[in-house]
Amino acid sequence: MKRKMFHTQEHQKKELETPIMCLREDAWLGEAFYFWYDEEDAHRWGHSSKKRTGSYEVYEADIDCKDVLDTVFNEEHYIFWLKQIEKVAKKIIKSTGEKPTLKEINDYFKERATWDEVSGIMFQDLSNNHTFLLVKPIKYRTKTRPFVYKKRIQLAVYNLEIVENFVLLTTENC
Amino acid sequence: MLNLEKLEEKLDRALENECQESLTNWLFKKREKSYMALLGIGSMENKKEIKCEYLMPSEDVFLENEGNDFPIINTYYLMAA
Repeated sequence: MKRKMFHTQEHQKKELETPIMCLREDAWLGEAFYFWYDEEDAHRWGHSSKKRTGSYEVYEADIDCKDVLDTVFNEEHYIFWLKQIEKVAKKIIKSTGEKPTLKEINDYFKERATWDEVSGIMFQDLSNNHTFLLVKPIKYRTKTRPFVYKKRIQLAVYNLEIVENFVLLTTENC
Repeated sequence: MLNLEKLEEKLDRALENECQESLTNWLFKKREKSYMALLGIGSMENKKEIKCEYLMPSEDVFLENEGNDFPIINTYYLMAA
């Protein structure tokens, strides 16, 4: 199955031909080429985190998701992923007394369990930015709680071969 | 198509082969590398002596904001090392 997904970068002098690997230590699933499922999220990321040059670029690509661990839309994959995460976490906590980060668990999958056949992992979180939600927050007594009905979905690509037709979609000011 | 059974077998085998020492070393080396990466590229150079005396004006210590229940504290901080 192929999906159209979006990659955000700071505006470059030269248009990119391939995505840039994210090397940030706080990248959730480690060193990978990150893509957004929703183009709007790609723009929000550009506005919030790709401001250094004053403008950002959004690229689109077709991603072959055949060998992607899809924890968002595939129930079997999600249950499997959850089980493996907790299995590794428990072992690490028992051995070291420390809770691992998701990145460390994912590094364990890749480095120690040699999951080389996994070309990427699709995952989700919920945005803290509630301004784009079209549903009114729930008010109860003194508390106001927004209901974040929209998943923020990303794909961490480990194998660049699954990325096709990578092209610049737009350049925008931050 | 991913073979989940095969992935689980590989993971279980890796975990079975771990002892407390191997896993602790792996994790702490990874964290050490991660902390070093935060410092950026380059090497550390020791300075012979750094002299610094800094008194923070008390009015800069706390700013009262809406919804902030903290009291305004009249104090000063000497700059840490």
